[in-house]
Amino acid sequence: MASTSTSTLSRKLILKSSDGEKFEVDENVAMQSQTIKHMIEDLDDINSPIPVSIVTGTILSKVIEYCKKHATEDSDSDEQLKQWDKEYANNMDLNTLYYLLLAANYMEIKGLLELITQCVADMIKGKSPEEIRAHFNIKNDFTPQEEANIRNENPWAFEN
Amino acid sequence: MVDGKIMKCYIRKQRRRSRAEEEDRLSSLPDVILTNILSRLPIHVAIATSVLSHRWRRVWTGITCVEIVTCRTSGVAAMFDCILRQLTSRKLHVFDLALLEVFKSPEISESEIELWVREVCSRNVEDIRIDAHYDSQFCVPAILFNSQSLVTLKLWGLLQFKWPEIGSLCFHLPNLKSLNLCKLIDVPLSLGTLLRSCPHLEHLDLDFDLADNLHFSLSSSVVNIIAPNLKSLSIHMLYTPGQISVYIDAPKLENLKIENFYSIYYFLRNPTVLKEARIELMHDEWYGLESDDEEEKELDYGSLSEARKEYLHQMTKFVGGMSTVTNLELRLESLTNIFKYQNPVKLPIFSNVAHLETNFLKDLMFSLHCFPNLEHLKVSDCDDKMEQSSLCTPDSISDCFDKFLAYILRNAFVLEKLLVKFHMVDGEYDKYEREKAYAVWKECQFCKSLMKLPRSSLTCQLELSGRSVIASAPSGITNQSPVPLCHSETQNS
Repeated sequence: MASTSTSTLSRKLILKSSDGEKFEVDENVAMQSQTIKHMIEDLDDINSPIPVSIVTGTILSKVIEYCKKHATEDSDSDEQLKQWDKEYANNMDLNTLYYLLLAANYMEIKGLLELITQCVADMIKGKSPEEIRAHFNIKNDFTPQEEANIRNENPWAFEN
Repeated sequence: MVDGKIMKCYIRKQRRRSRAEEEDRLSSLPDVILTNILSRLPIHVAIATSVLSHRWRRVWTGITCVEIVTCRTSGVAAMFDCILRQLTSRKLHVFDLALLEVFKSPEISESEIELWVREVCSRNVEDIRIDAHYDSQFCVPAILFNSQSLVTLKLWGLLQFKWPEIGSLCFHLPNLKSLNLCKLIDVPLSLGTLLRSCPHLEHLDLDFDLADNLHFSLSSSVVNIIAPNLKSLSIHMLYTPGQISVYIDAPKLENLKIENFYSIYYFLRNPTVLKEARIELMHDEWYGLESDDEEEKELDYGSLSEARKEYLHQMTKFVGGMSTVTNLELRLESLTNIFKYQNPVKLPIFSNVAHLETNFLKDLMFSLHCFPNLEHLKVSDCDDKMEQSSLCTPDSISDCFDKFLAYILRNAFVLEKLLVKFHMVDGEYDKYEREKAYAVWKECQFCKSLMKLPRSSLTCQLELSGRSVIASAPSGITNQSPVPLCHSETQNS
């Protein structure tokens, strides 16, 4: 317990992924996750690995990459950071995006969750329902009659 | 053999991967994430996802941010009613409505607006933004100002407040922090009462457009801004048909921005933590206000009209009330220039001002002592009079400008850099080669004359840039010759 109250300057934490991979990160990097922040508060031994139980090593390394970039203050302008965010999200395939969404949601990293949900929202925007299904491999399990009925509930949403 | 094994393994992996790609993982995400995604889309896009599959049938109804863009002219209330009835969240974060030129057609009535605003307000919205199109009238229903949940309110359009008598109105905005009204086409009588009913207001942005009210009388000529927790205030009121008095009592104000001409401002209590003030007391050229006789006459305080004296007196007091600022931007014109040295009302010492930006320099020489800790001074867009003089006598850039620069160089003992961007006004600037050459020569002469000015600061660096000439002189050197920017052109001529 004593160690938690000492200087917080560049203290190291060990995060352990669901598949057992370990990552050593600065405390201020890890603290961007509300979930980890709360876990640390209850932690007796700061040196024992913190389990991030539903996140695999591959995804966790990407999450840490994001947190590292956003932990260093003032090094980049807002504009540069936005650009970095954009490239970061654009480099992910759909599968990775889904896992990142789950990870950001579970770890409660607000910025990352916002970034990826916005990224997926932008993919939906401007597409017809048919195009959305094709893009995300969603299987239409409605009969044509059922689909027509749903369209009639909010007809104006399907105008133009 | 080994290669074959690796190959097999690779193919198997590939297959697995392609199967994974075909899998619909998006649909398997939890509702909380999907509604988050749909909350970032215009409502019609979110609703359209209801036909994707059974999984998506009702996901959209959990959204907490409603963004509606519509160009409907009627049935808006019915549409909102239909949408809101389907939403399951008791609390909405954002209600964002953009009406695309809806109000151009007279079909939508005040009562219909009131109907749907009532509907929206019943959903405990935190953030309401209504864009009724900038040149369309929008009757603001009083009911909008009666909400326990509202934190941010932004209204755009030609805002009209057709409210009953003050006595029967009840405003209650206990949690409102930010209010933006753009543009008010009148000064509503109850504006002061409205602001007083927002005890936690931190940001207030009022944009008046009273030009259309030229031939009508305003409902009120007084604006009372009494806001104990206000941090930033912005008032934009370029033209006023009559004199309006604005009373401000906001002791916690940090940021103030005023764009106004002719209205008089008063602080009931001076703000004590004000950091930034941007005060622009200029009339908009758009309204073609002719400069009256007062401006033409040389600035003799005694000959000003009583009303003008009162204006200068009160506005000097008002600006003087900002003595805690560190950043000050003052853009004045002849009629509103409180720095005229004949003005008997003295400005206080602005001991915190490190950055000062102004558009006048003649009077600045007499008032620089008010800013003893100035670090950055930016004088831009010199006033009309100066340009006129340089038009009439193109051989000398304004006398006043020279004097000011000489004054600065002589009196600034620790100055590090003086940057002068000048633009000589010359009628036929670009037409003839001969004129062009003359202009270049003129700019060179000007640079040379500046370089010769004595500098009190040993470390002062001089940088001059005109239209066709740049010159710079490092500290201590005064005989650097200016360089024409466009070499070839000058040679040709």
